[in-house]
Amino acid sequence: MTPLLRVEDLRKSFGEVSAVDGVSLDLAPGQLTCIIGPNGAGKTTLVNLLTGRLAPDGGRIDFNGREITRMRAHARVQLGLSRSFQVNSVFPHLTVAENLAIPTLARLGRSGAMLQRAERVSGLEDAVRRLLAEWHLEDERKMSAAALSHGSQRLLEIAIAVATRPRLLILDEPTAGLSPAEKPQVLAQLRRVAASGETTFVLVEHDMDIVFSLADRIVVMHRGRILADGAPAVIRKDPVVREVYLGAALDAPVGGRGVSSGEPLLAVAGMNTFYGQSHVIQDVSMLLKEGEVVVLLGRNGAGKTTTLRSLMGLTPPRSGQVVLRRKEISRLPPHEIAAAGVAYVPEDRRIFLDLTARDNLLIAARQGRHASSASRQNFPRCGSASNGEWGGGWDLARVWALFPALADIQHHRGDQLSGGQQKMLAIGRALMSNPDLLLLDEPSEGLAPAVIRALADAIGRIRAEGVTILLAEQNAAFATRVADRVYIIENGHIPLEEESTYIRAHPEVLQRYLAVEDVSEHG
Amino acid sequence: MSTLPRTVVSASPGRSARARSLVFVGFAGLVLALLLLPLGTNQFQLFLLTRIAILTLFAMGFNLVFGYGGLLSFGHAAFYSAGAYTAGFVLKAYPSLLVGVAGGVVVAVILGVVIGFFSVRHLDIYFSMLTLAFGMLIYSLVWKSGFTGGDNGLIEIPRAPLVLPGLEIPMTPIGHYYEFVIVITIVVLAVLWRIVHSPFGVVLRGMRENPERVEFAGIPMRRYRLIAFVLSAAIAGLAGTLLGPLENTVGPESAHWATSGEPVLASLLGGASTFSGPIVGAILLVLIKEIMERYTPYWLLAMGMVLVVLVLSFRGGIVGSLRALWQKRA
Repeated sequence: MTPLLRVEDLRKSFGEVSAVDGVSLDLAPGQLTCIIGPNGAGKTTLVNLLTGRLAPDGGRIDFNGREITRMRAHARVQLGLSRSFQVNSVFPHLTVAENLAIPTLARLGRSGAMLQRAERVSGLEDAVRRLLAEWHLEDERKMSAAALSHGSQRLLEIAIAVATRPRLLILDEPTAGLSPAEKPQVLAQLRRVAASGETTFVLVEHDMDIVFSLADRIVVMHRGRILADGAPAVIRKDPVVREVYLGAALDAPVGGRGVSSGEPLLAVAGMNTFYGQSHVIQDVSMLLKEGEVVVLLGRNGAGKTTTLRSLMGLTPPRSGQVVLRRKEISRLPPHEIAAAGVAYVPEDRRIFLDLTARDNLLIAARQGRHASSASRQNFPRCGSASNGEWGGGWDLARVWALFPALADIQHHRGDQLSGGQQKMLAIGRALMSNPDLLLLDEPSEGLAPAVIRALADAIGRIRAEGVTILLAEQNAAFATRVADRVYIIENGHIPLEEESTYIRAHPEVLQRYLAVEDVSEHG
Repeated sequence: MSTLPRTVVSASPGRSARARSLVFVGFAGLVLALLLLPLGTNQFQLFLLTRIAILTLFAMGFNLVFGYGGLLSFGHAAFYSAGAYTAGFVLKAYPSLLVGVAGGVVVAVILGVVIGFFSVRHLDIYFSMLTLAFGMLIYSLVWKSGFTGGDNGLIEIPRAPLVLPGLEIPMTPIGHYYEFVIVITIVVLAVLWRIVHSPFGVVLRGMRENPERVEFAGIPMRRYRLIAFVLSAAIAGLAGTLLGPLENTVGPESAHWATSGEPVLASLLGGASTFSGPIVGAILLVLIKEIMERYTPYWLLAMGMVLVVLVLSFRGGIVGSLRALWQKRA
């Protein structure tokens, strides 16, 4: 049988980063394929290339026997290749019915009619009515899409794509941001559409339960390439795939424990955070003692980043308390939280691309409260390399000592640095503000095993300086190696808190929450 | 499904036949009143009313891409003045009102295609800046070239008669010309009403909300945006053609970016997200200017202050705020 979609050696880079690096793929009609892989693996870029949102640098795409490599997006939709978006992309101030009318008008070939009332277009009313019924949106038909709950908006997002009656439907994380209660509804809809047999599906998905319950075939992406491709049973057992999800094999825990003074530094009580209607963080409570390294471990979309952003005041919690050294900070703006001694390293690093590595560090330099005044005087802020003695304050010399690779490239501009170097620079920049508490979002993500090892050592040395660290991670092996304690986060709440040593000894605990296999096997 | 009303797509509630005929009677009454106005008004009032109608046309055309299409054009004076100058030239050479109007619209459409071709592929501020740049380009052409009369503009444009087969209506009495402009305005408003409620109108509002998703619904978004832009340019050009015969002259200020700002103000003042907003805005703008000019030499300053207060106190424009108030009560 000729494939419905044939992809040959597809390539796309952004600057020096190869987001999609030679992907070839055939899709047979009727199959449900799931694309999985860590963040930054190139999944969404691949979807964007297939659907015409991005133009490839090289390679070829054929759809239904026709080359579409450079075809405009709307023409691909007309041929029967539709998509939904990872972040809801509806028409916010149109009614739900109008949201569905637009793709339906396009399908009927009547979207350009000017002198006919929209509701008189033959076939439109029936089609929209049927869609509203099928997607359980009848009661909301007159509501503006912006007023819908996140779950209903998600349904509408997918329904708009389905309304074009695609032969191939590519869904980018259809269950993103949904509560456990809402997911089955989306799943049921996908099953219903799939049952009609007219549509071939490709899903990008992080939720392994969904992947294994739906997929006929799983494609695993990693760093822009296809790492593995096969039936779910095969993928589940593939050691390489497990390594990508588990991270590099790591041995004994990093030293430097026991510096914890036991004084509570950060207390979080009943924190709730929303994105619009979507209740992302639900009643999260945590306690961090001074000098501890604690990890928030969970899958993609579990709420790790939002928790860190809530602590930092970037997405302020709607309720609950965040207390840093007896000071309530949950209502403060981010710059005041930073001034109180919290530094945040986002997953996407956000370094200043136009500044040199050195200037990136200097711009953040600030004297912390934590460092003793004596050590501050001993280590001038912008001095040359120190003698390596570790006092209290962070300055250029200490950051160079922590990440020697950075010292060599200190005069390179941010955009010339590799992903790993940018990551180190972002951590270094956070340290330059001399924080008491360092929030690191997925520091190990997208790093090569050797770099991960160096990063683990660096974290050990930072905590030896008395900086308390909260990591968000999905790499269980890395997380349990560097951290004293683990908070498991799932769907925005924390079902489990354990010592790392316990988790390393009882890896089956993680399986329940992370749907990854054995942690100790590689460790 | 049987609980659903007859139509689900239409945003407005379906009206009963009785209500529809009431609306029709009310509308016909309003048109009749507008056409009979010359019986009870003086020349100056008719002149003002004609100016209001011209600005209404200009603002309604502009608001098709702004309020409905989500694109803020700062260069619509280009089409307005293209219409005005072309009509002026034609009328001076061939004194027939309809021919002059048609000529102006044709040139505005051509200009709309050219400027639109380069502009609609950009969004937001880039679109606004491009249209502004094109607008100023046209302004400097009009202002500098001898062909257009330079600084003085075109003078002695005749208010040529309306020539129809077997009928010639003189336009010299301002009452006749007023009625001609009102008829054109009503016809254009009726056509616009049809367009914004058509499938194209729904797609147009979709492009305002989320242009990318329109593309991914299978609609050639850019081409649709160009069509809307050219339509809008045509109506702005039509408004311009009516200016010369009214004032007997067309100056380069009709191409200035301050002129481009007039429909922007009228739309924002009245309510860009409503159909009738630009009409209300146009009425207010012309009247405020007229009253202020009479009482103070600093009328521009006073008008600026009045506009700031109005825009700040009526979020979403006057019609928009009133509608929101009405919906809250209901």
